[in-house]
Amino acid sequence: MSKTLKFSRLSLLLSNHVVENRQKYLLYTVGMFFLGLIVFLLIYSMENFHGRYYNPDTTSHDYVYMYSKFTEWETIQMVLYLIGLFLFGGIFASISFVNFSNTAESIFYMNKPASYLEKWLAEFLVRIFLFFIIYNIIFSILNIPFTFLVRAQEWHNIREAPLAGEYYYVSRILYAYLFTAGEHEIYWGICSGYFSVVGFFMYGAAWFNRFSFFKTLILAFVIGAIFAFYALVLDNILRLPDGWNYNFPFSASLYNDDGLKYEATFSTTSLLILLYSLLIFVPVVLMYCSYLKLKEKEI
Amino acid sequence: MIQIENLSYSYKKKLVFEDLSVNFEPGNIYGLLGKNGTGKSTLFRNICGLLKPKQGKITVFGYSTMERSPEMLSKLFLLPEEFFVPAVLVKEFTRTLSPFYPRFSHEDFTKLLTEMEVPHDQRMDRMSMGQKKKLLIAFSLSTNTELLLMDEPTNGLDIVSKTQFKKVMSCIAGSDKCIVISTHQVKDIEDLVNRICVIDKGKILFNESINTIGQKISFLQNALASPSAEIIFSEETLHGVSEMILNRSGSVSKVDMEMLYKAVMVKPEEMNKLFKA
Repeated sequence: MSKTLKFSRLSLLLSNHVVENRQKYLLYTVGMFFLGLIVFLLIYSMENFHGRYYNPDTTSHDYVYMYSKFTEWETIQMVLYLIGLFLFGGIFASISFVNFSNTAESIFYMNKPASYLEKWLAEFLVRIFLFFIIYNIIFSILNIPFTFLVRAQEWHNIREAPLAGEYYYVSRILYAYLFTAGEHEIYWGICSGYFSVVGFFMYGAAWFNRFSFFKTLILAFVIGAIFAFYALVLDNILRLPDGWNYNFPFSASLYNDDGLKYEATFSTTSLLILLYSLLIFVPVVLMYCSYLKLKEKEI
Repeated sequence: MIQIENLSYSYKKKLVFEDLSVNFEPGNIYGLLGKNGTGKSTLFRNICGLLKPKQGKITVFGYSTMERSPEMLSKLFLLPEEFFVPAVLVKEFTRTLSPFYPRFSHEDFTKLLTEMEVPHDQRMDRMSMGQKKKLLIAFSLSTNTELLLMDEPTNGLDIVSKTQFKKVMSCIAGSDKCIVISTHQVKDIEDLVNRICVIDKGKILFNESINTIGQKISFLQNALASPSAEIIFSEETLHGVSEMILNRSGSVSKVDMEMLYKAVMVKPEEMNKLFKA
């Protein structure tokens, strides 16, 4: 146990890592905050969330218009949250093992008396886990006042704003992920997607010594293109005959003019197990690959 | 302490070591000499497990270097030629890095910094190159690791700093540590090392203790005439001729490392034959 993982050594490594990189992290955090602020301000000023004054004499059209604007803000929150999470998450993951960009730095880093697992964990905990927390804090700091602003504007304007509208802050995501995941596959998908993306960028960071973000991005496009090509080929080969509809991977059905003719339903439970296993398996495998790459790294 | 057996290593197509075998034992300060690009730094990286041998085996304290176990790493310190210092204060650097080395002495560190005239309270990245190097030398010595690998430690040091380096290094002579100093500036490690190891063309060309060398060879400066049969190696200097002759005096001669190195490079077989006899 102590040879591979010792918590006292891991905590030493973490404190060493934070002390050595705190200035960079502070800079990144401030940068992320101001970039986020600019994006929020731009979107807020570009979109007409102010709406029009509610006039009881008009038709209900105005009300519908205002309602849809608030719903739009909800969508914007979600989209901003996800773009920021994946983009910054990818960038932060790709600066894992940043020491490898320079021989002297990598020797200094690799010669610290800690195991590969501890070094990998230190990178993961800071660049992935701590980033996730900081990102959510920054997003909430920016998002909550803007959401209040939009909501207040709406209250001011139509005085009958619907009670819709929630903030996409971390507790909601975590709640959805941990407790209602079965009902909200989307959160599983987001979390799995997030960890897959950062896992892939971490792998790229362990592989490429310099410009790992861009190189990994290019690699992702290449892999994506190859995958898309083979998916198209496979789709043509496995295409169901005309008239068949399928809800992959749950069911396939054949309709004729009179209605449903045949239906084949696959075991939902086993398919769900397969799907969720895949959602867990992909990020775990990618993370493990980055660990293996670190182990075989030569300087 | 370090056992290297039949090590072969190459960078893509460039062969660096071929079937190299050598042992480094505790209680010695080795001078690892060789021309630029002969693989001194590569050997150090292999010893630390930063590079993986293509063939052969390296064990340090009984650990395979490929494993890079934390126990092994906490017992060795590598001071590389191209070094890195983080952007932190000296005290922060020591506070966060020293706990990895169980035998680290804060007292030694403070003393060495004072002796080498390195500021104690400055940010490391804002120091001059020489100060950074001296700071790392002080840190490496204070770790009190059983194995210390120093790659060109005097590069970038001024004359005063080189003297300070020699002074602090002489304090640890005779301990149970194994120190390997690689350099191509042999004058800088004169009087420091007690064993010389010359590396060239992927092989260990010569590996002898200073004491044995001094017993077998005499080094004469400004020599006028020696019986030609006694001369092992000679070279003309501005002040006359310097010669290496067989030591018949019975006393231990002071070793001129530069001359010895040249002799080994020019006549490796003859030199080895002389010591095997």
